Amino acid sequence: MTPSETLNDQASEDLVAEVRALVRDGLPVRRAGARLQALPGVRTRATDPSDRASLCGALESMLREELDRLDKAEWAQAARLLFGADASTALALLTSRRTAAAAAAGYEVHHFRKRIEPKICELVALQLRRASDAVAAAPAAPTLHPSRGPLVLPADVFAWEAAEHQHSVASLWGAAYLLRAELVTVARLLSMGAGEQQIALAADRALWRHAQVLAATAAYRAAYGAALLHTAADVTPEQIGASAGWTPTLTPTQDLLLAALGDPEQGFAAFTAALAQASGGAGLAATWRRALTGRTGSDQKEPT
Amino acid sequence: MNLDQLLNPATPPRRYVITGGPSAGKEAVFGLLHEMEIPATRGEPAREIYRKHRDRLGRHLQVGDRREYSRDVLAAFVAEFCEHKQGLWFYNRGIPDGYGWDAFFGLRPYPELEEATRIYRYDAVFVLDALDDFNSEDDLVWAKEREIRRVHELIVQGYYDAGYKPIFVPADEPRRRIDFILAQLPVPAV
Repeated sequence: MTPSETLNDQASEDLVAEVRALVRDGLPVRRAGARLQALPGVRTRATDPSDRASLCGALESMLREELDRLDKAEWAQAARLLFGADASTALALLTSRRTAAAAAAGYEVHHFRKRIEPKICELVALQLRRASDAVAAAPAAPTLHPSRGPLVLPADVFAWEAAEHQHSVASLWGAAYLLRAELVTVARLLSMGAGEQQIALAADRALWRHAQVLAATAAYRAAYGAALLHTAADVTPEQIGASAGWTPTLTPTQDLLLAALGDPEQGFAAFTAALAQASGGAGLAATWRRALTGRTGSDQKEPT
Repeated sequence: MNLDQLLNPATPPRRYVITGGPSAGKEAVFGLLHEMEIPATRGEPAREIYRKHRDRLGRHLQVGDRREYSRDVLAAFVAEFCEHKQGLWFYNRGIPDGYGWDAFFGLRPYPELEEATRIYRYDAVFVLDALDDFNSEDDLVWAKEREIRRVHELIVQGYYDAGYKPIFVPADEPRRRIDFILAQLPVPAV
């Protein structure tokens, strides 16, 4: 379901009402209603989503773009005149903007105000919502689709960077899913009353995958910073890792040690060997096992 | 108006940007401009600068590297702007593309970019609409990626932020797109 489909009728009406207020004020956008400010497309475009002026600036750019590509082309010029996006009506009073818009659309001004203007506002609200649909508001794994042919990237720095970013995000989600797989296995084995050694091995495999999550998180942070790019809310890479499920709390030093051992190319055996040799590694593994399984069984052994 | 009038080199400089997100078909448009001997950027300076930075670092650019890269690209754009002295020139991206680049990484525009944007003004900006609804490109799959749409939006936003009113060039065959662009250009004063 797209965000716009989740908006109820009241919310849609509110959004249209806020667009009408934009018409009254005209451009530039100096104030905007709460629903317009909350549109994901506005928030992701804003340089600082916590700053009202920044949100207004982002809304204005988005609005101008939608006016420039209005679905109903025959109203496009009238809409630009009405909002004051055209130089000839910029900063003019509403009456003047409306008169010019009505003339451009070929309507008598009262008819325009009563019949056409509301439709323009509805259309602009719809387009603003639609433009926001592409922006995810919450962390969600990238949606993948089968392709009929190989992926061919254009020779473009933006494409290269977008590919790098997708690589980082996919690695992060991939690590989170692999950890998830091990965590549910631990839970299943506990539920089935499996042997202590089998449970301990599953817990160790979960620790291995957790290390890979930490490594992918650290790599993302180094490349892009503390917040995930292109999300409306401030989603952190740690939140993606956390979406795998509950994991025992470790100390910052232990997190650093695990991240350093979380090379995704490294197999399980190599990881456990490196952890056992690292200072504090054996204790970390034992703590993890106890916290994750709730078991302190005598047959739980250090990984070999 | 014929093409010769437009291309008359004995006229003041007229600078036009052609930009758009990846998969907007920019390369095909520039390829044809070159074939038609219409003065336009060859290659894209940002690409070589990007490769050099990666080679020097031995890895992907990270948070701490991006500003330096942006500054190098800005310097290249400014140099290209200033090199052009007479007649018409189409630029493969322009200085305000830097806004889109910074926004892609969640960075604020930096003072040098804002200053350059104020000083070096293009006569018009053409944004190539994405080809994702156009059925003739190899990179169609990539064009449908949400992130690529996002890049396109951020580039457009950058030009609005810089005070331009971009002209959107519909998805079409390169030749028709060039015809569309040329039809928007005013006759130069001699």
